[in-house]
Amino acid sequence: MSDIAPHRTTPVPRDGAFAFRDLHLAALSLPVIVVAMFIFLAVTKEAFLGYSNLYSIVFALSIDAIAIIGFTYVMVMGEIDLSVGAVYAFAGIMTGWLMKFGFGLWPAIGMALALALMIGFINGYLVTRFKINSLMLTIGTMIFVQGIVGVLTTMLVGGTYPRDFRMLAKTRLFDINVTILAVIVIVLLLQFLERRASFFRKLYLVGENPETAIVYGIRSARIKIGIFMLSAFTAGIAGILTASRLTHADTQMGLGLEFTLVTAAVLGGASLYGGRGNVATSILGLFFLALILNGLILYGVEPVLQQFVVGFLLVSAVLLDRLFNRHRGTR
Amino acid sequence: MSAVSMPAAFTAKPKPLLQRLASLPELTALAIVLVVLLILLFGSPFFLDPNNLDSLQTSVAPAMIVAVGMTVLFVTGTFDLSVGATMGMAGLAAAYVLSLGMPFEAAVAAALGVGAAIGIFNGIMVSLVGLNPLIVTLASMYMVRGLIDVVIGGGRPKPWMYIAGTEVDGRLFALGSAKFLGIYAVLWVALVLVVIVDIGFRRAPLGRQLFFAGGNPSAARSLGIPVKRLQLCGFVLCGILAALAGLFITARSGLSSRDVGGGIELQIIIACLIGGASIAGGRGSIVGAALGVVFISLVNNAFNLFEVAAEWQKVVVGGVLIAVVVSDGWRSLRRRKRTGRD
Repeated sequence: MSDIAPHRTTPVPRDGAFAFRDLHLAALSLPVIVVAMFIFLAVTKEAFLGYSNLYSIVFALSIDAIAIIGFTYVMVMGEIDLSVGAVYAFAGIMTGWLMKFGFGLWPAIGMALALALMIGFINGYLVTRFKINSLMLTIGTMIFVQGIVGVLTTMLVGGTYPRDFRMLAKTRLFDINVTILAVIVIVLLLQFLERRASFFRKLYLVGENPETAIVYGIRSARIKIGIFMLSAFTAGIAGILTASRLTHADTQMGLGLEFTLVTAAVLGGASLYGGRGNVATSILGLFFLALILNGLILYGVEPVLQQFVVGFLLVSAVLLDRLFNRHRGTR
Repeated sequence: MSAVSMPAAFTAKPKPLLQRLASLPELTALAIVLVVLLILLFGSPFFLDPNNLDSLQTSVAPAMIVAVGMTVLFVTGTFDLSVGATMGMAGLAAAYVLSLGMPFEAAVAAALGVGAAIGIFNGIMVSLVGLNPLIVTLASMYMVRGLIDVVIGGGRPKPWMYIAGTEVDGRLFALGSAKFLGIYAVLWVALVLVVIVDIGFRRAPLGRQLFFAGGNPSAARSLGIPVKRLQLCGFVLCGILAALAGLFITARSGLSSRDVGGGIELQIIIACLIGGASIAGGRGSIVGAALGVVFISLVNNAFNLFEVAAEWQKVVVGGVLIAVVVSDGWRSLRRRKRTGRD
């Protein structure tokens, strides 16, 4: 495997060894910033360390973290999936809609996820078959699916989801929400797989250097389609959990999620040009955003400033990345 | 990879006239515009109503002005998501300057200055620093939208946001409803812009340089074309034109609000793609983009006239975008096969 390593340094530590020099700057400095931010908030604001505040941050984070799994791998492949927010809302509201028509909770979830997978397949198939820019295509799917979500939402307006569905996100194990436990398990598993499984090594290679990947006979189109489906799938699961948490069809659901995810993934060291990115650091990026927003609320900063802060963070993350990693030949 | 998207004019061999006409993106755009137009003419008795035509004019024209700037960016191989936010901010700047008791000219200068400043920021970050245009213009969209919210604050529109009152210079508000030969001033501006820039694209050396810079940046650079500087100028132009459009919308409504330009960036991008622009750069047509804008506006108008729920509008617009992007990909795949590459 190591003889097919591309000419650039790959972010995947080889053979399970923790290769320090391969770690990306953003990925290295982010934990430090997050810890500093955490300590700062803990010292200056008493309310921050309260159990309910911290728990609600972590619980909300755990749902978005599910969505960022597939999204990060799409970015690793050098593509982007802007339809995640729309698919997220679609899967959630579709589940509620199907249950209204008499389906049980699990059949409804299964059908909603199958439809989400179909959207992911269409994205992946069109991108690979016609060599389309995924940014433009997924803007199209985003608007299209948002339209369908709007239609479904107006049909469901008023009235809450059935009780089974509302209780789903409240499922607890050892008195902790299942979503939190699930994310921890998935992240640990992926950390292991990213180092060991050949699938993930191929994934990074396709993103880093598509030509080399083709030379070595990696079926990059198939992998890409699979990853687009994964992205829609994880977005769908997160959306179903969020819909269950919201308890009713909300037109605002999932709006702007794609931008939050891009910002978090870029903060976590993913590159828009592919080859870099890691689920754990993306989630750390999400955590960082959540801390900032929580801090702004605790400090009574006008909520309208939040948008400005997210935009500012996004551009400074890529700017710093660009300034400090120029020598690596990253574009 | 980017070398394959050379402008057709450089690579095409002489072909039969019909085939050449069929491959013109402007004609595809014109055809779908005519289809929607026919549906509207025969489908709705209200389409030719003067009120409807007036509102169509004032919705088409600002978008057309922005589409000119966006097409220039597409040709040089980039794009700008912050145009909608720029439109809103420019309108606010103009209203604020007027409320200080300053004359109309100062308000126009302030609005265009805001547009130029945002364009310079985007251009420096994308062209000179080399950051991804998606990230940069998305972030500036966020930041400008955030600033708009901060300036406006919550609740009702503030008194200074109205430009129709007697205590401010009334020329801006008058401009919004000024008509010449039955056509609004804003549409005149848009049409003149479209014609001038389209001729420039086809005839002027600068226009050809833009196409070459976007189609094959490294070759263009070795020919001495200042690719980065052209792109930077494109961002500034796009910002200024977006500000101009925001100014006209504010002038028309008599109030600068946060809704000005909301979500318009995607509609403009769709219009440019319909008109033959390619995200890969090196291709694009001003007339095509203008027709694309007309198409989008007519579709919106059709939904209003046929009283279809607004949600279906998104389904159609998204579907059209997917179709346009796929056919663009299919065409450039075929072109690559024909020229023996790939």
